[in-house]
Amino acid sequence: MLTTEGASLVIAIVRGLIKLTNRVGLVFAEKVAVESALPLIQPAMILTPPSEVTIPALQKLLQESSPDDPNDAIQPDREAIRIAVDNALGGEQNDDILMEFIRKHLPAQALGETIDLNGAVIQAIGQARPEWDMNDTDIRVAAFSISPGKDSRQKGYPWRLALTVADVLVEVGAQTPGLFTRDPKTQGIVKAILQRFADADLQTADSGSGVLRAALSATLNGALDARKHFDIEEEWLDALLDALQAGRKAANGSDEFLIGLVQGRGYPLLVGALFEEAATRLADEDAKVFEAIAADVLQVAADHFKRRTNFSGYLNEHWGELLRATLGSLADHGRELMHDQTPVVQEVVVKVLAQLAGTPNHKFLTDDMLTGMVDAAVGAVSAKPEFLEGIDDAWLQTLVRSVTITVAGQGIRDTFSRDGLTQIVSETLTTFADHPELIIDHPGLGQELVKGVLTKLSGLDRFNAENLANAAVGGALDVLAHQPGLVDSNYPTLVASLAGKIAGLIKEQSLTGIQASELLRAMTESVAENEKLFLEGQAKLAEIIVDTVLAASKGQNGQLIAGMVLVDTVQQVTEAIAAHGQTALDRHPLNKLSEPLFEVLEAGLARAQDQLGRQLGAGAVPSVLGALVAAWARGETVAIDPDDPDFQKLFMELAMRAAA
Amino acid sequence: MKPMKNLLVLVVILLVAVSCATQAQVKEIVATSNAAMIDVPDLPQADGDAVDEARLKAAIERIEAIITAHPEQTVLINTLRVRQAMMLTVANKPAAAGIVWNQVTKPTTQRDAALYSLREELVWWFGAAKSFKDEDIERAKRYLANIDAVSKTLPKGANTRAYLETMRAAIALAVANKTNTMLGDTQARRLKKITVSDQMVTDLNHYAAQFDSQDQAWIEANWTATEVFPDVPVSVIRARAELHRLIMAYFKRAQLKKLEEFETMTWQPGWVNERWQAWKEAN
Repeated sequence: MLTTEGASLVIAIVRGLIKLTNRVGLVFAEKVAVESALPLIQPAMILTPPSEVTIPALQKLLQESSPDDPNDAIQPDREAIRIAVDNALGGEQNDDILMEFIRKHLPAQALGETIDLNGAVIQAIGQARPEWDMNDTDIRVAAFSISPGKDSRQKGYPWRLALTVADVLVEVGAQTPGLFTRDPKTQGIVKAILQRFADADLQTADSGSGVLRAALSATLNGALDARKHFDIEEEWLDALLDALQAGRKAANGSDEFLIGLVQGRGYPLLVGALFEEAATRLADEDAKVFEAIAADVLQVAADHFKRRTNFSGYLNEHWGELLRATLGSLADHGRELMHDQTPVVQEVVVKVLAQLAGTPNHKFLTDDMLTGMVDAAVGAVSAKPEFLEGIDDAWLQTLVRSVTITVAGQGIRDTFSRDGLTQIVSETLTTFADHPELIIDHPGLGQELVKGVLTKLSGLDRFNAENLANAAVGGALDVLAHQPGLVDSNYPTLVASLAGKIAGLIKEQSLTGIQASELLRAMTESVAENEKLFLEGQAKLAEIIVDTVLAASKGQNGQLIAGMVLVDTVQQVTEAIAAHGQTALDRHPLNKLSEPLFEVLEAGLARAQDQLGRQLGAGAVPSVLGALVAAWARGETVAIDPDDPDFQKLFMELAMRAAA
Repeated sequence: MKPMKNLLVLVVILLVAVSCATQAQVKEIVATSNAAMIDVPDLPQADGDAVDEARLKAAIERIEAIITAHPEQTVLINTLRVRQAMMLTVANKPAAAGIVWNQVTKPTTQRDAALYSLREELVWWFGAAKSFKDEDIERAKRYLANIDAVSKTLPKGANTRAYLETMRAAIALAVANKTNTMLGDTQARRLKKITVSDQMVTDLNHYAAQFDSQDQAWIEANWTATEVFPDVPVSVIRARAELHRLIMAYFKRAQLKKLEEFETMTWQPGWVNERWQAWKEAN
């Protein structure tokens, strides 16, 4: 969005444009007329026989004919011819008269010599340029063109056009905001763009100017948004524009390529980010590093543009975001990535692009995903010194594909919205960037966790699927961030499995969406508390706990753990099992565990119902049940019977402890 | 002022792509008039033996239309009027050409200004070149001086100067050829022939002086056989080819008019004279 000042500027320019349209159009029309070559031939010249030929010929004619022969054809002219010849010999210039007699009486000698300069020219050019078709109109025009030479007016076209513009600016002066004419920062932007794109275009003013309009408007938009908050750092703008110019050259000077780049929605944002990062987090000398990276990215983009690959369109749309991510990486990791001529971040970005180009799935990556991917990759590289010597291509490929494969799944895309998917993937990548240790040895973690969860949730309605996915992935990432060692376990698989389990409960309407999300998040934390129990030995244990608590909630006194209390109850029970479950499993095999656990919960709920409002508040029910399960797991309960005095005594002690 | 200038130039650039309709019209006019100007009988292998009147008329009318639509655009109008006038001049339409030339007020470029200054000479020469009359001699002599005066104002090597100098040399040759040197009185004939031969030497020398040693090398190489100079610009090839052709025409006229009847001719510059000696031996 434009600022108010920016909008005023645009309005003023548009007004000026409307007024100037016809005028400038005419000036350029005039330029075409004035500067066009004019093909001028020489007239063919006929040189008649000179007097040295005509006079002797006529003298001979007179001598060889008889004045007495009435049939002689020259008789009527004889006297006139004689007089003409005499006059000529006397010095009179009467060649035309002599030639009349020659034509009449000696026509064979009247033929003159044609001096055809144009023919000589065509012949000479044809010999010098044998490949040219000298009958072609354009070639003939070129052969005889006379250039206009200097314009007698003192000012060249750019200046005269500028004066024309000045006239109109005077007309609209009252509406022209001071920003445009007086603000040195804005003028600096204008100047910078002109220096890079204007010169050539002014020479051929009828072509290529679209790139200036596009570059200027997009850069101004971005800069005007940022200028209120940050000083415009010239070296950073120079770096960006130099990179763009390099990209234009790499694309064989294609304006189409450059216009496509700057008209992408990411470009103004990139300009804004450039100023922001430059003003707040980056050093001046980093501008050159950024320029090198940007030039590399645009070189890749130009290569794809020239080859018209499928990746070209994607890059055109997302290059701005990619470079924004790069800026962020530079700011985050700074000098540690710049130990060499080619900063590691530069290598990472280019290799990420190469990986993306190689997979058709790149089209499913959004800006935020792309940004996150670069962030994560750079984060990992900065955290692993070995990578500074060169990126492991296989590692990077796994990282990139873990994301692209995840977002490309048909079932996943059918279930999740683009925004929802973007949020989940981006947050995952952000966590990776913040905790690079998670992916250094497991670059496929994203696929394992996110794709695992999302696949399990496919087929669920979008709202619940996205909520559950956020709960599962978000919860798991929180856990992993604190316990990175879990990456080596089957924790991601367990989380995915739990997500599938709970999704099934939603479908069965055993749980509401809110209950399910809370429950899933709670479970992702709880199961991590006993890695050995849940992740190594008893993969189904967590699901058994959920099923059992849920069954209890549907029993005679189940209303005590309905609603959100159910989630709390599952969490308390899971934590109790996490802490003491191995002892219980020693007595009850996993496939038999559900039954005694259900009895404990049923008995506990019966006592809770009896004691509610006396020794027990409703809010304490989950924790008392959790404590009861822990006691049972430890083997401290003799009989599991709500009417048994020992059980009642135990329950009372636990309730009092919970109330304390 | 520098930022302001940059600003102005920027806005100009922004506007370039905004309106190109008139520009496109002018481009079309240039293209059609160029095509008409080379489709004339004076140019070998043209479409026909006569001026394509319909084509010429259409090109003229296109120019009239844009002039009518933009009466306030004096530079545009003057430039297009010069183009229109030259179309009529080359097509040997002296009356119409004269009318259009009279509507030109202030040509803009060196080329247009030179053509405008010599409009009378141009219109006359395109009519007289094929039927040079006795009465043209004195007029031609005046015009030679006029052409010389205008040519001197142009940079050496400029297309327009080369064009005018070629035209001047051709006119001078027509004058020499037409001039009666066959006088009965020997002394009078001697004087006349020397006068004409000196003038021809002067005129050809004047023309050859427009060229440099590279042009001379080209002409010498191409005198009897074809030598390809692939890197030479087309405009240079044109100028050299015309010089070559006119030198040959001068030599032939000098011989036909027996200008060495009394005194040997010594052409200038020296390399031209060397060619003359060789040419005489061969002819």
